[in-house]
Amino acid sequence: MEGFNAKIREADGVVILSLGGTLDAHTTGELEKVFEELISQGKYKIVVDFAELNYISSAGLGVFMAYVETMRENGGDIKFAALKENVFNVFDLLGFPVLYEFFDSVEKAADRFGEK
Amino acid sequence: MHSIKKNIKVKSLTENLGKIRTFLFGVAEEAGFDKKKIEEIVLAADEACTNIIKHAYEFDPTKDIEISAVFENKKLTITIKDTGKKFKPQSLEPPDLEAKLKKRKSGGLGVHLIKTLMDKVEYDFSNPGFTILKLVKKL
Repeated sequence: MEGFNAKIREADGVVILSLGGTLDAHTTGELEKVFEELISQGKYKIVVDFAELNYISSAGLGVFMAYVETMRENGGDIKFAALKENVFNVFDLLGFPVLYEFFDSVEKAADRFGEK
Repeated sequence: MHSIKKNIKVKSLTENLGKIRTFLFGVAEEAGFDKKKIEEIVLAADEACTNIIKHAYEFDPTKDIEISAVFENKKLTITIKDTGKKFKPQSLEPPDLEAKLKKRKSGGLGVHLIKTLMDKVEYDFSNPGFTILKLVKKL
């Protein structure tokens, strides 16, 4: 089975967190570590780039739910970009688009931070 | 008549979720489901098994999850058996997602997905020794 990977880069004060592979109950711990690290560094403006993520279950969505308030309380947010259709469907079925912003590209998501 | 009957037994470990998904992907593909329905079947089973690992077995890796998949009469029936704690979903009704998102509580999302993705979902808690979850998807 394919694994999971997370890569970080920064552009204009926004963290681009690129995810790849499979995000399920087995791999969520790795993503939690990334968010803990970002918070410890005081980085709260996050764009998650889903372009290479092939699969997500509700365990993966739980990670974003756990950290988004911390980001928002500190002037940031978690924004979602470039999701494959099957991955977006899971977010959509669980009502995420009501409370989170989704974009078709990383650039548009990152620009949104600049608008505020 | 085109019919399939396959079984898999794995230990209650999150690292086996991939094995479970691969198994059901194979069965659903062989049965002739389209890509979208295959993804729905695989995700529903992942959610069900994740709940068993977390809540019924509370991460005890020595326990078994038994899955059987039967395809007949244009219908796939997945039966998942565990011998863990009786984990009764609070309700099979849709949870208040907005409240959950605001409170950062993800519990119950899996059950909601399973209900949404499958045509029929039945929990059988009647036997004291084990729980049976039956998931049905029509071709």
